[in-house]
Amino acid sequence: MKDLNYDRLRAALDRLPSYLPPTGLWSAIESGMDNEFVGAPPPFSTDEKPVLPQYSPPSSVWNAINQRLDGGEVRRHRLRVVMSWTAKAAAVLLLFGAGYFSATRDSGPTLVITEKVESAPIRPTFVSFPSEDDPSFDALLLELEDLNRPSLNGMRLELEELTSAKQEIEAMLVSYGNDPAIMNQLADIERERSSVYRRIRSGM
Amino acid sequence: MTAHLSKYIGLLLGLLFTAELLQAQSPATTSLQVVTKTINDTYPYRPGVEINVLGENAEIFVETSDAQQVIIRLEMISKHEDIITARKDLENLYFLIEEEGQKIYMQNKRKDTNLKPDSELSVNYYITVPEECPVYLKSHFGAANINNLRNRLRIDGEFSQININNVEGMLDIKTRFGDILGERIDGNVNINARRSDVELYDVGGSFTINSQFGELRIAPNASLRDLQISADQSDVYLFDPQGSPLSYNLTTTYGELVLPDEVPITELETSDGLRRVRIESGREISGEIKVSVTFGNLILEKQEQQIRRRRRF
Repeated sequence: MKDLNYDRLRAALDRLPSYLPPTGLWSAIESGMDNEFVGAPPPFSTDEKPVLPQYSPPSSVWNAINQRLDGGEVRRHRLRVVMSWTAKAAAVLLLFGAGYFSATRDSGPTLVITEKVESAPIRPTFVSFPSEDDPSFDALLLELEDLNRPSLNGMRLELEELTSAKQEIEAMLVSYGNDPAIMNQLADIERERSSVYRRIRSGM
Repeated sequence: MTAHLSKYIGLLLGLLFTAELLQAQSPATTSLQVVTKTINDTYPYRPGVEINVLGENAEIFVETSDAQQVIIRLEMISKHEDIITARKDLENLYFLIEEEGQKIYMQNKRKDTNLKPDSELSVNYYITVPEECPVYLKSHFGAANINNLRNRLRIDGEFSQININNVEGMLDIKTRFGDILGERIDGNVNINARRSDVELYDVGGSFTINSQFGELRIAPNASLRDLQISADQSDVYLFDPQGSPLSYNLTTTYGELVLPDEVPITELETSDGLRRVRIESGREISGEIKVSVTFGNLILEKQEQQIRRRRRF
């Protein structure tokens, strides 16, 4: 902003009286500040302190505060009791759990090897007839195929099925040793094969 | 006197000779060393769990108990005159058990399938399950013995005798070269038997039986609802329960139909090689038996007394 009457204003200012602070004032302020800094009493008297008004709260306020404080104590006490019982229950559950686990846990399979002596059973005896290795057997099957008669074809299939079964039984005897039960099965099959063989021969 | 003496001496010599021959022919009694490896294992049972057993030359016993557990005892047995050989051959057998999802699998195997043992090897399974536990058995040689099950039983047998006693529920049995002997069976039963005899006593419920090359002997009880038999090259024996609560539709093709004298029959068809008859029970509600036999005989007999099953094992 440009002052339009600058000269007049300058002259007015120059006419204003000048004041200087009394000598020693600044040193007194400085020393006062130093004293305050080291814990000296303030440079003004206590009489100059402002006095604030004091009010007494109504008694109902303190009663309410006391009741709330008492209630909190009860809750804390209850919480402590609950925590205590929870801990006890957890301990009991843990004990039961450990007991149940140890009683029911899968300890894995057990293995026992025993040895004893027993008398050998009497082996079944049978005559393998006709053997599939027998040339007459192959010749018979070939002959039946050539004949291709409905009345004989059924029996030929029957004989082939029985021969296949016989081979399965013989394989099992090789794999599991001469089990008497399997040998009995072989004897049964051989009897059936023999019967079919005879029926075929009589029907030819 | 001399003649008498010489006669006695001759007789004595003859007796001695005969005794010698008999002794020579009788088999020498030998002893076998038996080595048994027994494995015990237990699994907790959860509803829905099924037992699967794959037995090879194994006798399988399935029993029930109230315990909610699957208890397994397996015996692997080796027999030989020499204990070392018996022990060595036993080492080639092993047992596999595996729990996968809702199934517990068991199987006995040979480590080296090319090894030819000198010993006799066999395996026994003793399995105890809750009665509601479903069971599946696959038995290749050996036998299966099942008692007291109440849920689902499936058996796939080859060269295996199957014995079933007091079983209810759904039964599905397939057998080849293995006879079936059943007693006190009730439920929905399906049997396919080839070259196997089937004997069922005191059975009720609903049965479907297909048989080829085997003999069937069926003695139903009064609670039988439905029995359908299709038999080929098989003889079928039916034992009518007391009071005749069942109706029959019987057909034979190229076979003989044998009926009791006092039974009133209705002839439905008689043609070349075929005969079909119906026998009514005389009751409003009755079980229905339908049998068709081809190249076999069909014999209907009265159950005049408790039929005793033939024990063959």
